[in-house]
Amino acid sequence: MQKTLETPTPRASRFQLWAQENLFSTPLNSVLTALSSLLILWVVYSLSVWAFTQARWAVIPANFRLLMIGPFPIEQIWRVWTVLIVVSLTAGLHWGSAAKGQPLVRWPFITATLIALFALVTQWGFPLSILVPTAVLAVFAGFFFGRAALSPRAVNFTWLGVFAFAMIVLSVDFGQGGVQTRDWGGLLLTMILAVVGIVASFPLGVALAIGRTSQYPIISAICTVFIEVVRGTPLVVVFFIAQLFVPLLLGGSNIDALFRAMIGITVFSAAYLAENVRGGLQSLPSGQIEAARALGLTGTQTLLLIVLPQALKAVVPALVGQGIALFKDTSLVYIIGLKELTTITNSIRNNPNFIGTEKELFFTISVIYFIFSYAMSSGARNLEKRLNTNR
Amino acid sequence: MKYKNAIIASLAIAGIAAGVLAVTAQGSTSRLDTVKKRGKLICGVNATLSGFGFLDSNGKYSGFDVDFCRGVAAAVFGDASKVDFVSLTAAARFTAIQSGEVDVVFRNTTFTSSRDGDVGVDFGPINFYDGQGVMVKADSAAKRIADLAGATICTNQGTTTEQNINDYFRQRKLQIKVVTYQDFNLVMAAFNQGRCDAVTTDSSGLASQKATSADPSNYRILGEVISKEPLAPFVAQNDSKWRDVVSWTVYSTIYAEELELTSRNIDAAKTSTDPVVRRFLGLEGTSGKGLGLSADFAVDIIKAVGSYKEIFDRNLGPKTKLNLPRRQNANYEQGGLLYSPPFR
Repeated sequence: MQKTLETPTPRASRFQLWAQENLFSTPLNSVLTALSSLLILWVVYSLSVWAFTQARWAVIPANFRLLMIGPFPIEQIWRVWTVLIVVSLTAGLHWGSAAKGQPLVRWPFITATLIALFALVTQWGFPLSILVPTAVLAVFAGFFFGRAALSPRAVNFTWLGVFAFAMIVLSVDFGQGGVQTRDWGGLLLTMILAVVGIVASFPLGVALAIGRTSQYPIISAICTVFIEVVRGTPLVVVFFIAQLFVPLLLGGSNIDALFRAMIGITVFSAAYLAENVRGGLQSLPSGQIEAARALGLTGTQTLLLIVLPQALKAVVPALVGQGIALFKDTSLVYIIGLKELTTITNSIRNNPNFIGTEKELFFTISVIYFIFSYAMSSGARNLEKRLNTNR
Repeated sequence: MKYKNAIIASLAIAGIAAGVLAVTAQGSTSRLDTVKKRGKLICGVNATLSGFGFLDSNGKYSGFDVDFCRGVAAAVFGDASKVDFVSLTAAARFTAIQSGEVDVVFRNTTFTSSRDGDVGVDFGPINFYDGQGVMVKADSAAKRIADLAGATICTNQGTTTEQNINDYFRQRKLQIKVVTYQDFNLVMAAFNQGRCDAVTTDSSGLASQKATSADPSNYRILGEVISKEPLAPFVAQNDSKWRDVVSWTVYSTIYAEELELTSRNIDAAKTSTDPVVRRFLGLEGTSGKGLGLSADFAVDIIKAVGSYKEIFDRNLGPKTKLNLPRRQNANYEQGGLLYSPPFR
């Protein structure tokens, strides 16, 4: 019966084999491959023709600071750099602590980054030539320290501290004048809004989800009404309410516009998050809860130790998708008069000196949005791998 | 249905009550005192309108309307830098005034009876006269707007321009096809591809589109204007003391042009013997004091932002890419509509 199979000696290269299997396996597949390739080539070609022959890219370097931080006062820019370096350091710690125990020292990668950086830095003037390398070195320093000495959990708490630190450094008056939140802008503001929205909506959303499945009808009713009302309202309308109604109802007392935006985005995101989490809660077999109770765990213990960890793990992909959507939805805060990345872009294209550069500007910010959204989704893939205990 | 109506009604009542509360809350003292106490003016502007309000590459607010905000700050504090800008959308601008979030709004807002009456704001003097115009290709046969009967005219959505152009032709019993696009850049793209015979929007917008195009000689703006769009600043209703400050700031810039005063020559003008000039500079008379300002508030304004001519030239005039003509925005002595009451 037993017959040793001859291992086929690969005549073609691995790429050829892969292409045969995946791209040209059937006639239909071959046709699809050919058509898609043509389409991709056409798009890339037209874009390249535009990018290299027609586009006037000068608008981007000329307004780069505006895109990054908006109307943030130039004499206060040390605040942004301080925060950037601290965030870089923490990101390094995060990366290092997550890579613990893995042989992950990619020296070629690190060397290449440093060389590219050095090449760039020689083009720039004094402050940048010191500050940018400092930020990059902070990432690497954090990486090696975090890998050697920190647990991922410790780093998570560090992030909270870093966020509070950033809020203080970016605004508080240390004797030479503070910075008002209405002067925050550009990518900086987009990031702050997204981080606040994602972080603050998480506990609120989980609480709402638990509340909705609560056995007490009044709590369940309140949570359900809240979730359904918010989910039945477009985010644009939420911002209009924050802009138009909140000041009227409070009779002229001013609430910071940024705070209004944060509340709006958090409330909106929490309602959606609650429904995602509820999906996770309901996907859990009831045997889990019964077993936990049988072991003598209290209701709270069951919830915190048994139910939530499993429910949340099940909905990680949905939560990340929501985080990415929220990151992009921050562009709607123009309604409240905040100048995040998209609004700043609209302002720049209305500068008489840069009229007619919409394509260059919007192409650039779409790349920026893509980089961050892609980073989020690939980070989430790693998280899913790490959490996947079923394998 | 019954409940729905009840909910809408109660929401409406709550909204009105809140509005009344907000208005009465600020009725007792003038906004001028609030502004002085705060030490800073908060001015609502448009952050995305070419030439009128935008952020320059250094992150500073810049533009025609922005300069008038600086002028008000100069009038109140003698320091044009004491102003914070709040960028407002078209929808948010009136609430921002009613709620007291901003002190004054300079944001390309058309002065109309319903806004003055129903919305609950008070307008200052018109600082820019605009009106809807029509632009054709340079080789078009149309000499007047009426020549475009049967043509396709393009404009952007969500404004009254579509209604105005339709009204204009219907009134003359002429046929026309109006095509709208999301954004005026798309309108221009369609125009250049030959999908429209003409485009219509505010004259200032047409002029800037023409001036900033690759070849301005491709286009011709027809002479007629089919709607009135006088743009004016506005403040909260029933606060005439504060509105006076805003009004006389605008008048100062216009009057300075009439007297041929500029930011450069205003210091030298202090030696002038002309009583009209001396009263404007606050060397005679007490007009500033009556307004709750310093005697020489006009000097502070002109030094900081210049005369109307300087403001116009700096932001919209021939040295900018927008290259707008003065037309109605010229002084009355040059055949325009700008006219300041006298300072005496």
